[in-house]
Amino acid sequence: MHVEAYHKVSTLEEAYELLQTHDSAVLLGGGAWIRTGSKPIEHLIDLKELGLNTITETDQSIIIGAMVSLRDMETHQGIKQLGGGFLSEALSQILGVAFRNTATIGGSVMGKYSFSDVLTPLLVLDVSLHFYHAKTMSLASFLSQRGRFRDILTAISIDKTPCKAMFKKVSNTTLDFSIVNVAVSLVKGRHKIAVGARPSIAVLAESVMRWLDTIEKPSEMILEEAGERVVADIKLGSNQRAKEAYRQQLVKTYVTRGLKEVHGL
Amino acid sequence: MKITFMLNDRKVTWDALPGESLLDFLRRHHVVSVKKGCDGSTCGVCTVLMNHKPVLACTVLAMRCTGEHIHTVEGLADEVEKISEAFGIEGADQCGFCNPGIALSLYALKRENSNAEASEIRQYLEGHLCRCSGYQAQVKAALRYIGGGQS
Ligand SMILES: Cc1cc2nc3c(=O)[nH]c(=O)nc-3n(C[C@H](O)[C@H](O)[C@H](O)COP(=O)(O)OP(=O)(O)OC[C@H]3O[C@@H](n4cnc5c(N)ncnc54)[C@H](O)[C@@H]3O)c2cc1C
Ligand code: FES
Ligand code: FES
Repeated sequence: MHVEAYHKVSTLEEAYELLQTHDSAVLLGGGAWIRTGSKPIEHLIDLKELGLNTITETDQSIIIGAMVSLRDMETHQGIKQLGGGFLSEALSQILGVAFRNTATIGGSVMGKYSFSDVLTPLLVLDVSLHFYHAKTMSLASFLSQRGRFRDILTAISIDKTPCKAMFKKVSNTTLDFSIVNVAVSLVKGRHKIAVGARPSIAVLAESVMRWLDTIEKPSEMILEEAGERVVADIKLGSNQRAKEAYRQQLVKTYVTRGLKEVHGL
Repeated sequence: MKITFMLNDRKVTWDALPGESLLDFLRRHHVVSVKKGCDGSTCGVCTVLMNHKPVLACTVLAMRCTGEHIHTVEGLADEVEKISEAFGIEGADQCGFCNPGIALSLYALKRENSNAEASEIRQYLEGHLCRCSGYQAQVKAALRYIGGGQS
């Protein structure tokens, strides 16, 4: 990786100013993804010394600094409690421990990777993103925004309301990218269903979620219908990993299984 | 640019390039137990310990090591001896290219979880590719090392 200037900043203000001054400046999280690029980087701004690497818990939420590694998230006791540990489980499926000790939650959210196994489970929780400059926003609205977003993510917060949840990654080998991934949650009778690596970025199946919320005790048949409705509701496509038709089968199967699991069926 | 850090418990000050990986940096300074495989975060042979946690040297920037503790197998001779012995008894290595990285991960695992079972070892070693073995003997060797010599 060719870097012209490496900036070790000690305040968020300094980092933000550099980011605004240099149009080509790049923020350095874990650097794992940045390293895969071939374009020379004129200004690399290292966020390491800004104290963004802690996880704190309040009665309502878990606040995770943007520089927290995926491994520290995965092994955090509070995060292990969320949705029966489904988020920790999802993170544990991304490459190996040594990789996850470097990749950060900040880079994983801000990269908006279409293959992400981080965004899909986060979408079925109540997650807010906190920025240095921009107003706090939900993960779902951040993901739906288009265009460049020149701000520093400082933390994400996750609501701790107890829920039942499941995550499924489908890949050719354990270390490979997802062919497709699915997450489902049930919080106080409200459903959330997310599908990622479609192959495009993860989305919530909003209309199916709303429909399910109106049904008091969904039967197995209803949950099977929900699987079919998700396939009709969200856009799935083809790429070198899988054809659209294969993704449709996978999504239908795992959404239904996930819903049955969270309903204890 | 000069950076100062602890390498195998010795303070060193070496020059680093702004975008240089820790892997290229260490090898350029003749720390060659750290191997270069994929150079893309997917094989694990470049694993080193940063503040006692395994990281991929090809993925971490050298500049990030300022003030940190880096360990390679050269700095953990006693533990590596025990791991080598367990590997020898279980027939767990062939060409040996993957061994330094696996040894460092096993050392870190033992520090984190001195009762690690086979399934936990398998999970911890995911990300370490070995083109020679079928991984079974490595898991047995890991159990022997973590169990203090008993398999
Ligand atoms: C070989 C390889 C395989 C992978 N496999 C998977 C996989 O199977 N599943 C999966 O989910 N993920 C996978 N990933 C992605 C990985 O999990 C991380 O999401 C990714 O590396 C980004 O994290 P990072 O900390 O390295 O970010 P970086 O590389 O440092 O940054 C990524 C982007 O985010 C920006 N950024 C970083 N931090 C901030 C911040 N605080 N505020 C604003 N912008 C910021 C950077 O400027 C950059 O644009 C893989 C990555 C690699 C390299
Ligand atoms: S050389 Fe670093 S993971 Fe392969
Ligand atoms: S023993 Fe040859 S690569 Fe592992």
